[in-house]
Amino acid sequence: MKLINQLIIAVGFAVTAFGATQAMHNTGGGGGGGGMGGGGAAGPIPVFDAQNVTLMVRQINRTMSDGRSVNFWVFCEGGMSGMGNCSLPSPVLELQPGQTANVTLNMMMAPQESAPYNGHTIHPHGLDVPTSEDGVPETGAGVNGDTYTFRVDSRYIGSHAYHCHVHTVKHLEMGMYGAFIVKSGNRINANGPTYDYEWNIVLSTVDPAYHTATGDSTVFADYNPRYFLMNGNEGLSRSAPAEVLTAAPGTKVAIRLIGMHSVNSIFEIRDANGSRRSFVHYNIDGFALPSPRTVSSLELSPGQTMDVMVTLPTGSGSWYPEVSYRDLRNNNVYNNGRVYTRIDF
Amino acid sequence: MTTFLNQLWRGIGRGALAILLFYGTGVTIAVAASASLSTSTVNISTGETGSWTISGDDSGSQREFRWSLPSGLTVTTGSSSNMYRFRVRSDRGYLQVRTDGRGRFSATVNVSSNTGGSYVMQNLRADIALSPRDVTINVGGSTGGGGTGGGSTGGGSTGGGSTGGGSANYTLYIETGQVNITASPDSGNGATSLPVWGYTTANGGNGRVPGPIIEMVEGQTITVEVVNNHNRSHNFVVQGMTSDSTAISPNSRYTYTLTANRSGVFLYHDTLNGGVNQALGLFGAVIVRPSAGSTRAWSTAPSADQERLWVITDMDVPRWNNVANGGGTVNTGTYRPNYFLMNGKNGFQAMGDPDTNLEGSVGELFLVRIVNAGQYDQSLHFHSNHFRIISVNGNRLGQFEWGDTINVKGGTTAMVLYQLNQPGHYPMHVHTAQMETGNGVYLNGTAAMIIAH
Repeated sequence: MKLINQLIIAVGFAVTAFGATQAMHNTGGGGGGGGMGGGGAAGPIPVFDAQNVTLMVRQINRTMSDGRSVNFWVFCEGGMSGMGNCSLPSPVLELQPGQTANVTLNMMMAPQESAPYNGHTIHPHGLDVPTSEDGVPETGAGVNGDTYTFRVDSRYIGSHAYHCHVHTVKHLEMGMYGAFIVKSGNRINANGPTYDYEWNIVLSTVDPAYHTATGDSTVFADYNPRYFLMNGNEGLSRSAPAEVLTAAPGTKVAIRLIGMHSVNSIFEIRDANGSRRSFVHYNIDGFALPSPRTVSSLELSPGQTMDVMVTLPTGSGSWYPEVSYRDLRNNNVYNNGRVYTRIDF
Repeated sequence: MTTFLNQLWRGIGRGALAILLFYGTGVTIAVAASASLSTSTVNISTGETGSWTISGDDSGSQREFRWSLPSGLTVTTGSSSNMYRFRVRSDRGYLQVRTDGRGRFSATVNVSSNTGGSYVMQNLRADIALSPRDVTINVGGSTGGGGTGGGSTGGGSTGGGSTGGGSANYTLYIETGQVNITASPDSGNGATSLPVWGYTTANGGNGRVPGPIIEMVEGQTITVEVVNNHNRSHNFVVQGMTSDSTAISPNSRYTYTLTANRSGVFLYHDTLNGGVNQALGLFGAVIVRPSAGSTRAWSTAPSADQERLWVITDMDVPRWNNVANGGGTVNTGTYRPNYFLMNGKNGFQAMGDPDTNLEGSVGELFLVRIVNAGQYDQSLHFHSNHFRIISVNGNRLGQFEWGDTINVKGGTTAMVLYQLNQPGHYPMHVHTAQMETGNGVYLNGTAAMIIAH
């Protein structure tokens, strides 16, 4: 089920094992900058089967919209292709209910901090795994590589996440996060409707000072985010969106929002006139709502995930899913805190 | 990290012992659980020590009882048998009696006072049938309380308030104080103390952050006398319950009346001084139960096995606490908090606090009442299991929703039901960058432990 990066680019979309269409992602407007160091080119986020995947940790550098270079640590698939296959956010992992995940962290050549915050782990966020698989050093997890093995039932069909749980205040910020999707065909949850396209969007924020600070620095007492991302891209305007999804008119698109950011956020979908379009909210934190809700705005707090579905018009056009990143005290939108994507149909 | 792990392992050891004790006795006991007090009235003279005893049978499970600590009454623990906890929690404003699950138990409480009057130790919690529930201590035969002045509200006559003689149900003193932050056992960094202002039950004592828990029953009216021992004006308002925001001048006192129309958890706070007074620590929680001893969030909500209260806050110590406490004027437009407290404790203290942690046997259901007394929204993530959100932004949900993360906005309350689903040690922590730290020291911010045996 592993989707090869190049295949997505060449074909435009790839058909998953379940018949739904994996969203195609074009980075918008040439933004996002070229990859450096470990090779982290901006581009589609690769998808791997969590039943058998090995992740390594690499440093990549990204040139941000203001020309400044920021270093990130990301999980990169460490199989045959290895090394060069790095992305921000880290790869999407998928698992079906009843299957057994075997996610291996290989620490070879991993960049890391010094003690007591040395090493890395993988925390399956929202998957409610036992202590031994939870990736929390303070409750006994090893930090020098491990295989995380767990299963989930059908209640978990929906969006979750994984991230490093060592010195989380820094390591999460560094980019060590990715989407973890529990899938059952192309159904939004165990008893929900089916979708035609799916789009995983990881929300994150970047305070460059956190990327160079280490240990118990007082830098970590004050979070001043400067870059605001959807799937690793800034998407500062409608003409330079963070990502573009191409879908057929009249179809249903599942959008999975994975909140790895550290401020408040609101998700909305606007049409070409800037009017908000309604969508249906199905899951919170990968669990089905008792009753789906039709909404036109959705708050997503740090650590939360939300699964929504939008039905596209039957004519052609473009809609703009956007996230506004907001201050934790007064909910004001940050400067450059409004991030745009686009759906062409 | 090593130190902290050792603590956890010791915790596991204690848990295993508790399980052995439970299995060792649980099979032979089949009596109905109940308890009684030796008396409902203790008559003593000023300076003399009297006592009362609770005894009963817990039928093999730990059971907890709590009584209020009336201001002016000295309460100490006497002899006891088969107790897991028997202590005066003056910081929480109650006497705690928790049996150890070995059947017959007893505990003797000693009381004395240097001030004549009538004092009521009000039963705040009883896990099993208890009769009688409250104890009235008459000291010196004089009429109660009254005459201490200041109580200017009409209160009292609407019933519910169980004290005699017109004294307030609670007396809170506004005092300066300090919150001691302990170092990270992993890195050794972070020990300090923060200047705060707080409500406390001890006249002249250390201001507490958060203030004492005020417990009420739905339909009840009580009075809270607030004595301002600080050098600027303060007040006491229960969000969503009271509207009397009368300011109390320095060295004055005032009595507020609270009527609990609705079960839930409420923020009480000082609303004066542009938010500075609250930010310095003048806040706490009121818990309103549907009936005495109930462990339901409201009368039709599920019954919980255990309850926890989490009062969380953020503090900008350099720009707010230090400035205000030094007599300066805070620029309230700028707020960059660098400390994040869970029940007034830094993360490493909270993670070792049995009244904060969710610790119990697999299967136990916790009702967690959360009050965010701070200015920042806090997104709290629980490991090990999803919980049911039953109330958010102070509003009950008609249909409970599952989640593993709940956003408790500044100045709001929430309630969740969390079930221990698998053995082990798990963290509960805020998922927001700097809030995981105390001035940058990792895990000294908003955190607690989930421990299932």
